[in-house]
Amino acid sequence: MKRTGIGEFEELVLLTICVLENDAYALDIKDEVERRTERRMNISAIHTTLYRMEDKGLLVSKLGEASQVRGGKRKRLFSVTSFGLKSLAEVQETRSRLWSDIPANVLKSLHT
Amino acid sequence: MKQPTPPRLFQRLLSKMFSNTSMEELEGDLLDDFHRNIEKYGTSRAKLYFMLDVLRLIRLVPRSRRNTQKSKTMNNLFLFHIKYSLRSIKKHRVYQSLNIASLTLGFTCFSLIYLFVFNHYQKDSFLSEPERIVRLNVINDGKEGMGIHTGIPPLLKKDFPEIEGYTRLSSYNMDITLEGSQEVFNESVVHAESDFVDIFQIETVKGQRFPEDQTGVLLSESMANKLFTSTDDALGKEITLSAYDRENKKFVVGIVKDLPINSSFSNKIITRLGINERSSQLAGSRAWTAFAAFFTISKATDLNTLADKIPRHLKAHTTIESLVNSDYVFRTFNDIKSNPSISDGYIQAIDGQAMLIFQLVGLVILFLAIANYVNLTTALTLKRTQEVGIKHAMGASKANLISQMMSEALIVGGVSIILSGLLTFSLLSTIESYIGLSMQIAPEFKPWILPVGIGALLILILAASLYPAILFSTVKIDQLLKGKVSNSPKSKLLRSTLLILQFSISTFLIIGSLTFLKQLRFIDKSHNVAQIGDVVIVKGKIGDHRDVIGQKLRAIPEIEQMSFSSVAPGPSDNLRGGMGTKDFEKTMDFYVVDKDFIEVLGLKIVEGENFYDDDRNNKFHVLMNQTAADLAKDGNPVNKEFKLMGAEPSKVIGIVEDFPVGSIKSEVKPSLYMLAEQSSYLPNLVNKIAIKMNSVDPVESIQKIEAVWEEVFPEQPFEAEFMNDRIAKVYTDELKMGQLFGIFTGVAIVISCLGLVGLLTYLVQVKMKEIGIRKVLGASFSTLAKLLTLNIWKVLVLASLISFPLSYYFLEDWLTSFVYRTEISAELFILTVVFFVAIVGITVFWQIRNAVRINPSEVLRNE
Repeated sequence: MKRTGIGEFEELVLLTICVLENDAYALDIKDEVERRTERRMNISAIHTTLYRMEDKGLLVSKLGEASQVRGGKRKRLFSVTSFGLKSLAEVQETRSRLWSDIPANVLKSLHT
Repeated sequence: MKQPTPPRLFQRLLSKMFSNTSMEELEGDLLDDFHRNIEKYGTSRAKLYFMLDVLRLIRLVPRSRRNTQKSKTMNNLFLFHIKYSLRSIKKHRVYQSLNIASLTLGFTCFSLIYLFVFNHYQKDSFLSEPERIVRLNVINDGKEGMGIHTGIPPLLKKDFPEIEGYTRLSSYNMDITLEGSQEVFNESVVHAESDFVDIFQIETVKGQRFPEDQTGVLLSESMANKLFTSTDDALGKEITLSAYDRENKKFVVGIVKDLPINSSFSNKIITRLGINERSSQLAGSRAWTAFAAFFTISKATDLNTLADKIPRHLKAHTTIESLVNSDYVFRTFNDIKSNPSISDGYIQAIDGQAMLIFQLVGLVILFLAIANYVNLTTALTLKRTQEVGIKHAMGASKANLISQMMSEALIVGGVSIILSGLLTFSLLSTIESYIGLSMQIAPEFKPWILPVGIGALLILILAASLYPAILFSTVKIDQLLKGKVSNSPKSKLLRSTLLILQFSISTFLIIGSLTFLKQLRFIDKSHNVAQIGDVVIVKGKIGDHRDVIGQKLRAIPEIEQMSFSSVAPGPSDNLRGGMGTKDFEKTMDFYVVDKDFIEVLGLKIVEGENFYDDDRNNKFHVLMNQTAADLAKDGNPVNKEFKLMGAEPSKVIGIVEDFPVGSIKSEVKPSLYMLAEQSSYLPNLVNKIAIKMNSVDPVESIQKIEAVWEEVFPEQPFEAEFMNDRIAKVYTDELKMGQLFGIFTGVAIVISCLGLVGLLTYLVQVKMKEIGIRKVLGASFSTLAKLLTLNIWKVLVLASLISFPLSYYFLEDWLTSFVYRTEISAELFILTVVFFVAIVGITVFWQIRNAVRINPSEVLRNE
């Protein structure tokens, strides 16, 4: 298997950006992840991950319009690149292949 | 309601971290997050989260700096730097080759000196505890000697628990012959006692650890191989050792391992020292023998307290006053090694003072080279302001510019290091044979010395280039287009200081060399070398045969005059006797001479008469030297009679000037010159013929002398030397040091002049336009020369002011170590100044001629 180099948290963030239909901004991502995982997130952790994934080429970013709300500070909006999507798909495929290969008797305990 | 705000400090930290970078959004994001957190968790927790987030974001700072919005053309330019440096070096090749030349010279001298010094400190590194090896010296009347009454060492061993072992030791050259062979080897033989092999850590290979009695001898492996075919073959064989007409037959009882090459003592032939039991008695017997005594002491023994206990302890065992009244001192192995005056010939010593001077000179030369480099590079830097400006405009940061300069320094330094490495290794063997010392480094140290040395020099170069580099990088963009910032006062001050220092050092070295030369000339003159340089001295046991050989020699027409004696100025190979009399304050050495002695050896009679050539001649006439005359208790001894030898009194008829015998640094001993006829045993002392010749072919004449010698003394080898060689031997050390010093001075002057040439070239180029305009307005060569060199003359004057008093002080100090010494006179200083003015003048003239010759229109046109 080719290494995609996506960690669990990175995968989570990437998926969240997809859910938010791209052009997502760090705080929205944070809220969404918190809502879905019911865990408190650090904004700094989100930032670090976002920038790291940008450096890896999984994301692209652009600066949004300046608005009055944040004292004139612009937002950075992140979108998943096709490489990011492909990496996500690969991860999912690997996982589903593994799931489908799990013998039924092992899975039994999950349903009971 | 007042809106709660995040902690001020962290807010400011945040904006410091990310403002003006591509990650400015972080600030806004964190602020937004803060407000949302207040709603969710309340103010205090929101503040806590904010602070933690800010701290966590610190790790993103490098990323944000990386992606600044500046142009990226000037980033990651390692290869570019190298390429560009090569180009810039090529462009300024005149300066850079001056740089490389002076650095190479400096590095080479430095590494040669330090190899030498390092080698010295590595001596005897195989001894595990050299600090425990000591020799007992005795101080009597303020003079330190190493001959110890043979009874003392065993006594000390018995009564002082600190002393673990001892050996009385004597080492001298002996002739070695093998049975059934004519070949004679002359080798140094150590006579010692059984603890010797333990004290000096000598390993046994075969046979006995130490000879059990007088008939045994130990050989080192190499000596065994030299005398016999193999070490196995050598064991049990008989060899004959002889010295002073006494022969000893000995059997080889053991083979010891060769000492490493860096040992300062030898173990080629070891035999047991013969001690006369009766003369070692401390009580009673008045006749006693003395030998050097080495000890091993236990760790952490205080040598001074131990030595202080000796006289008190001796009182209980002896009545010999001179033993009890003397002071004793322990000299450690390392003391002996670095102080020739207390060395005994067994342990080779190198003058610690000379070592120190060499180290200083090495550092000074290194400093000169580095100062030169800084100076030239700084000047060069200021010429390159335009380049800096353009790079700034292209987005180069300070770090970029500095690393650019550094890579240039690295290239220049690297080339110099490689060149000087090659030079050092090619010169090493020449220098080794020249100073007569092997510079071989102990094998265990070879690997790391190279990288450490090279690394250190590179670091030095980089550190030195930091100043010009920073200067280079801080040029303001706005100044670039205006062109000239070359004359910023800050850099001028530094450059002038460096230049003054350089020149002070150079003048000091020049004065030093001149003083050295003067002192050497003085020594030559005081020996009258010009007149007696080609007098031949023939050495051997002549004794009673002097009439026989004298008659035969007189038949050789080239021989003008000759003298039979037991003494000649020069090394201490003269047979002397000691003589004490109540009329003089000290004992005197006496030598046997004949009536032609004074004339043949070109000595002067300062008072009274020479031996008479006619019937006034009397065998009881004697001469004495000035030192002896000064010791006479009743004033001037000339024409007085003293009872010196036998029953008849001797009459002092004249006083001979002092001439040194032995080292040039040792004091002249009071000496008496007697005629051989005075006593029946005196003729036996005669061991030299001084022959004055008037031949065109000295070699041929010497062959004739040799033929005569072999006829009269078929059993003795023919040994002859010219007087000037003989005298040179007395101050070989000084001569060599003088020559080395001269070489270093030469190097220092060359380095300083290279720097001067570079600076002048730079100065001329900077002022090219000014020169052009002045020429158009009718300035003459001399006005221009004055304009350009005024500063340099100022520097020279200042440098002289600094170095003259210093050099006077140090050289005066050095000269006092000679008994025969010249004076430091004003002419030395004047000569130095003239010399320097000449050198600077030539350099300046050569540079300025180029500048002045230029057609002004060429310089002025390009605007």
